Amino acid sequence: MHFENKQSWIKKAAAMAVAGAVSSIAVAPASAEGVLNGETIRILAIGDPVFQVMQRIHGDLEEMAGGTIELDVRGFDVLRQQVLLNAQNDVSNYDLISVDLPQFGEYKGFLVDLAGYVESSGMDWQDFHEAAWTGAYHDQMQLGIPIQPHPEIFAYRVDLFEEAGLEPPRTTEQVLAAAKALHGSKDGLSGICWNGARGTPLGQTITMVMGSHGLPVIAMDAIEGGFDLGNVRPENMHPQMESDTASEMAAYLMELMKFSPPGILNMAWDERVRVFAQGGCAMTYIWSGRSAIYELDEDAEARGKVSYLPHPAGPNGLNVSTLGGWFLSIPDNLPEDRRDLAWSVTEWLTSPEMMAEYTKHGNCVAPRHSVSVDEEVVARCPVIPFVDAMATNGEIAGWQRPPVPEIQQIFDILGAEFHEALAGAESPEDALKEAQRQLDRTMRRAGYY
Amino acid sequence: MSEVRFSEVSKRFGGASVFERIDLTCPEHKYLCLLGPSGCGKTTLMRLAAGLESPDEGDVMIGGRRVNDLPPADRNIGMAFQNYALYPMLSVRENLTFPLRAPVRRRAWPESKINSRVDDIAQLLRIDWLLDRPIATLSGGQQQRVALGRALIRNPPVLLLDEPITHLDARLRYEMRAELKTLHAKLHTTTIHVTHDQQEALAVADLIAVMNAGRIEQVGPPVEVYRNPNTAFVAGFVGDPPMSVVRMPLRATEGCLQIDFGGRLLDLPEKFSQAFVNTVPPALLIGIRPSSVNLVPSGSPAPIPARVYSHEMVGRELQLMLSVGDSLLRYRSPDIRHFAVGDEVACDVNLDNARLFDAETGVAIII
Amino acid sequence: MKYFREKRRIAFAMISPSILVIVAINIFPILFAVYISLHLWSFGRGVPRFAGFLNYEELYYDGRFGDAVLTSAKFVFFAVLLEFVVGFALAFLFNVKVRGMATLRQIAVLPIMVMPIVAGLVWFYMFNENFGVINWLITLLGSEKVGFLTDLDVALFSIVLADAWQWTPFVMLVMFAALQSLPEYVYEAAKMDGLNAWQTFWRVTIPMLRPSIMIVILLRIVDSFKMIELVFMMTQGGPAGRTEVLPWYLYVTGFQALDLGFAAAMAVSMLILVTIFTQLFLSRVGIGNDNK
Ligand SMILES: Nc1ncnc2c1ncn2[C@@H]1O[C@H](COP(=O)(O)OP(=O)(O)OP(=O)(O)O)[C@@H](O)[C@H]1O
Ligand SMILES: [Mg+2]
Repeated sequence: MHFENKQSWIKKAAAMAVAGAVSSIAVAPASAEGVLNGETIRILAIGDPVFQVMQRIHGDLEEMAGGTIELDVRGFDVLRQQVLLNAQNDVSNYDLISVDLPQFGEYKGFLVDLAGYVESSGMDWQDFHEAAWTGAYHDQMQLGIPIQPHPEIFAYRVDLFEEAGLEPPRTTEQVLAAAKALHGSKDGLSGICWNGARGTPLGQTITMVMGSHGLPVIAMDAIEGGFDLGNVRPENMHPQMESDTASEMAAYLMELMKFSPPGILNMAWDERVRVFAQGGCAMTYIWSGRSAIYELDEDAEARGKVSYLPHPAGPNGLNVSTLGGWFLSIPDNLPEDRRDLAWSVTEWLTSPEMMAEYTKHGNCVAPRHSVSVDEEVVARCPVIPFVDAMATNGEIAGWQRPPVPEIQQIFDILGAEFHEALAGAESPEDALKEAQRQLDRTMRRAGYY
Repeated sequence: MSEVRFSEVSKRFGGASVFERIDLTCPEHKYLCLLGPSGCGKTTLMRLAAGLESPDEGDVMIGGRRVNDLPPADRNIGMAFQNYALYPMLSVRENLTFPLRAPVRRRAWPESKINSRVDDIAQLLRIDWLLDRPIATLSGGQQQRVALGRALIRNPPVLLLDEPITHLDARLRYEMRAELKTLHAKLHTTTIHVTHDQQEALAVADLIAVMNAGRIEQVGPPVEVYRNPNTAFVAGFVGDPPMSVVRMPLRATEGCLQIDFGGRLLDLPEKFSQAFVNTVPPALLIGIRPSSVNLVPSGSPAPIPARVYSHEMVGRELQLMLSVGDSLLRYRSPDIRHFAVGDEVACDVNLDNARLFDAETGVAIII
Repeated sequence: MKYFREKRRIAFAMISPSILVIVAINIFPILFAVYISLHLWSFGRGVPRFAGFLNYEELYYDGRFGDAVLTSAKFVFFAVLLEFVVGFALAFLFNVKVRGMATLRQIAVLPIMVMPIVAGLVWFYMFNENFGVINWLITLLGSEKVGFLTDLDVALFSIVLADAWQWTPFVMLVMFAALQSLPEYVYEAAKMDGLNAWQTFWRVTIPMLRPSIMIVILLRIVDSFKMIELVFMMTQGGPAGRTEVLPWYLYVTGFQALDLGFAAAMAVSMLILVTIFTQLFLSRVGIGNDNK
């Protein structure tokens, strides 16, 4: 998942203007055989690759569907506000909304349980990656169908590692060793790229890296192989930023700073991938789908030289990558008579054929096993089988970013406070302490304890 | 040492010439009024004296010294601008003290003297109650007095006043006129005062210079200019009302010159005839004072037929324009009677005080 | 008397629609913000709870708010200073009557037309350490890269520079117009009083431009105080909060964390700060009150 990054923000503005113009003049295609049967469907979408692909192939899509598809694409913050506002309407303005994995906790009160539809339509739900499928399973309800969930994983340059005789890094210790060895070994080569920019980017880095050190940022219940994200209760809301795990995480990030490219304090989302793509760093944390940036770019230095691993584990942690990304959900204020249509469109847009189609246009995400073995798909997106394998091995999970309503505040507080430590304005201990204090205050304000 | 002299000065703006080789002198301690119609170049002349413009040819001399290249501040003059040119962001008091506190004159005016000087000038000009007002809130006439005050305040040896009191009401103008005169009598500041109001000029000036279209037509004491206009222009410009300058056909009969007034022939007085003993000019202009024209009963001998062209009340008298032949004559009626435009009247003209001018050059024919 | 009373009644009837509009679009949102600020109000999460002055109290003890106020003050000070000095100087430069000056002037004001968000994007890339043109040039000259957006001591000035790039032309334009409207004759009076160029500038030009100067400075202060786009595009408040201006912190709490009560308290405080400041400013320079 990618929060609105700087560049796409602008593209989006332009795209929205174009989409607006397109949808207003959209004429129902002559053929009325597809899933829409001449009807119109309205989707509230995020400006992330999969929906950008839909915008790009909008005409084809409508032809296939045999109806009109109105795609309202929004930035992350605006999307969230609009979803929450829409939930207060008597009748929903949208048939479908896009939901980010950690948002289910906040939205679960006003989404339709899709379990019945899954069953009656005979959807092959076991074809989806388990972590993706269960990511939308809350309070015994299936609240969404995965359309673009992908994990944040770890990418490294095989050629550079072999040249230096380094092992693929599965632990943070190995990462630091490799980073040290490679940093500066070539002109303009840094050890590792990651999200170091203040606010949400760093906040996400912290939650995920803390996860691979073995703990979520709030005291969720431990269960077999991880933590229980489907059932977060008020007593689980205590922040854990003064734990030993948090200190280990902090120490690791402080070490990473030494082997990071210039400008790491302002680096986020696609920028880290671009620097990696042009050979500016030997390793990077990356949302798997964004590997398209270099895999589909003939001029990229990193193209075809990259291998993938789950998040490297901390001293007491596990190799577990964080799943994020987007699901399609039906708001529960959508009238009954529109729900069947909404479901049919969901089924169609998340079908293996469509997922394969998206990969053709720069979206290297396939949360279905059947798509992940499609040779053409793999040829386009080498990352997909790696992700599929991780999914099978249980190396993908969603609990690192707890699906609670305060998740954005958590990101913001962590991303703001720990930036002080990275920038050298404060000690890591003080930064963690301050973050703990502010998170604690936030939870109290929200009335959890 | 403060005589102001223009010597063969020419000034052009782009291609347009304002004046060519002009000569004018305001002697030391004299009060000279520069009188002329709008656009004749009065302001330009003042700006040349002040140093805000430089002459294209000729010299500007102050106190016998050529000042062409001297910057304005070094000429030691006080100037009241026609458009006031006050500092809009300052109060009246600040405007008045500005010249006193100007850096070039530092120490010339001790602080202790500044305030009393401002108060004196403000009182003189009746603006003492305005001293703390911003300029923008003043009426035109009030601003004009501030501008005058600013010119006077330093008590400079030379004053250039460009229409300094034209925007005041009649009573105030009259008072200010008197103040200027008194002040000059006391201080003898060499002053050039621009005006287009001849009454003002006649009232205050030691000398009047009449200017027209970039030329100095006549310079002289008021009485002289009034009595003996040197040119047809001066004759038609000075006097209240001024002479009627008319063109009448001239006839020579038996060695005697006669003028044809609408068919009635009048003998030119003896003294004029002598001027034409040898040559008779091709055309003449005659200046006739309104007081030389009289209405006569229609039955009187040999009247000049005339027609009322216009009439108006001026002050306590009635002024008529009479149309005689192709010309118009001014007439002042001693008693108020009813006239209608077009009335047929009969008049008589006394040529004893008339002035004759060469119709070509406009120059008076002096005997 | 009666006639005037009648007239006033009619006048009131005539302006009442505009009063309604002012109330609707100016007063109501402010009152609503005050109302929200008295509640624990998190968007989409249950009913708002009345909280009295809790939000204000927390604001008072919130170090990040205090830091943001200081950062805003610093930003406004340096941005307006730079914009004014350079803009003013440019206005004088452009006031020189030379051929081609008009065209040059038109080119110079182009940045004003750019959307602030685009300006932010452009400067983000200019200052970027990995793709940025400026750092590329710096390395060409053989120097170390500069962390324009990541160096603790530099980042705020990078934003100041971007803001100045966009808004100096505005200052230039206003001052240029003001210069053009100065009456020529006053300078003649100054000549008569013997002021040299320097003295004329300080004693005549500056005082006459004073109202324009004050207006343009006030506009720039108020406007730069509201600046958020550049921070949004360039640093998101980093490094270590050194560029977290008040509007950005407000955005983070109000539009990302959706803690509306707290954000509203911040907005109200900000409004009070700006109002007090502008009133002080206006009364000090004596513009804006028409009885003078
Ligand atoms: N800066 C200038 N550029 C071009 N022409 C000028 C300039 N200043 C004056 N003139 C012209 O010179 C002539 C004389 O102008 P000036 O101002 O001296 O007249 P004036 O006698 O003072 O008139 P008024 O009684 O109306 O003030 C006018 O024709 C005027 O148009
Ligand atoms: Mg004039």
